[in-house]
Amino acid sequence: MKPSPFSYHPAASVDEAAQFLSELEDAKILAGGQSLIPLMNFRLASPTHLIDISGLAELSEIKVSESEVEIGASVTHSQVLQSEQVGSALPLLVEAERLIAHEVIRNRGTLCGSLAHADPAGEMTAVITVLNGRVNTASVSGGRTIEAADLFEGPLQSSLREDELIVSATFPKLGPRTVSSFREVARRHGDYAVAGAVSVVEYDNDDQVHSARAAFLSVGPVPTLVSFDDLLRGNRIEDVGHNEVYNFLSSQLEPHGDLQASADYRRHLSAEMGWASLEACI
Amino acid sequence: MNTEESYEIRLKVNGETQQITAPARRLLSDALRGELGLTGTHVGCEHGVCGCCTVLVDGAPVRSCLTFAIAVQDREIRTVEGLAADDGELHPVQEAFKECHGLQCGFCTPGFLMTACALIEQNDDPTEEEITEAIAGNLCRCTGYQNIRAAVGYAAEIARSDKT
Repeated sequence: MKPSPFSYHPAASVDEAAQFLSELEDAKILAGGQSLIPLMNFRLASPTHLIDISGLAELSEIKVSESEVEIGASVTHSQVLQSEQVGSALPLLVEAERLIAHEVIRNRGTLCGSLAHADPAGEMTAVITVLNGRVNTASVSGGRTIEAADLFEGPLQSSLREDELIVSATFPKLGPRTVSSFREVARRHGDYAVAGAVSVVEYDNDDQVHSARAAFLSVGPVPTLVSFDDLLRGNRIEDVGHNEVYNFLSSQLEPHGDLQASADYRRHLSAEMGWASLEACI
Repeated sequence: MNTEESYEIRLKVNGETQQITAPARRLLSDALRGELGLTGTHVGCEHGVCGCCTVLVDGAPVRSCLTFAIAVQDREIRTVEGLAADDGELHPVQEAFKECHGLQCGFCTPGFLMTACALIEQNDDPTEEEITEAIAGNLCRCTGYQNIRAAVGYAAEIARSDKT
């Protein structure tokens, strides 16, 4: 229940952090540590070096442009949640933040850290997936952009290279006539969700669905994206109704069973959450 | 045998800056209790679930068991020892927990006190819902929570009347 020994390297800049990552064997980035430190306390992770980026001013920005919201890698969940800029530009981010753990965890944990942690039960992994967002990285060989669809490879496995760190995450804002909603079920408030869905619905000029999709958490090794276009395009959600959506989702989702929920129960909950999040977009 | 690398770590706790020598892996909870002898901060689960180790860093509640001491150098850390006045007068949250019987065995209490302290400093007139939300990350196995919720509400009341 104590972490194993490591050397600590506070980075003075992103460049220095990238330099440390390329030079040090078995190094990890430390931002808020709210996912990494529990793993270290359990000794499920025992990195030899930690590179602390939490103090970097260049990573502490929230930028809102005409079309996107960009969150720097040292921005905490609480800062996103309290940002009025984010609240008006992309309310879905704030809605999702409210579901992440408790205030006390959000005060140190970072949004980008949640993405790097790549837990398929993590709310932000589903949000960046449904919004087709991306992360921006840095390394000594240069930065790159990783699209959400390519970011998650398995439970706690991202496609980040060992010498690469996330510097920010970019979320496209929703277009006009587009609505979003997040619904999840957890055993206790603040726990990881047993099942959850985040939906984005775009309406045409006749208030019928033009396009709809949902990302599901806790149903597989990575966030699962489901398109409702074939089912809903040209229709109203309420006309298609609960049963058709539920049956469609039940056939699409193949969750695993674990101590919290059997595979069948989780499929049921996920389909219900999928419907609930769609219904909230009506 | 390899000896573990030590670091000089400056910790500003309850207004006083102290220097400790400890490895980087020293959790803030263990630094407070071990190096600084401030055993008021309790350690329960050590993975961020129980809330007993909650302290304030720059006024915001954080889990000291999920924080490396070295990562919060020079930040303002406040622990349960920093609540009561020098003359022993209890802080409103302490007074309220005592009055409302908001504790039994007392193990979780320091975490609840710090969480409640942060809440009423941000918002001295919280609704029932805000109180419940604020303390949702702290576990108590004795009280059944009702007296704790009442205590937090009463603490806010004392804080409001102290201001006037």
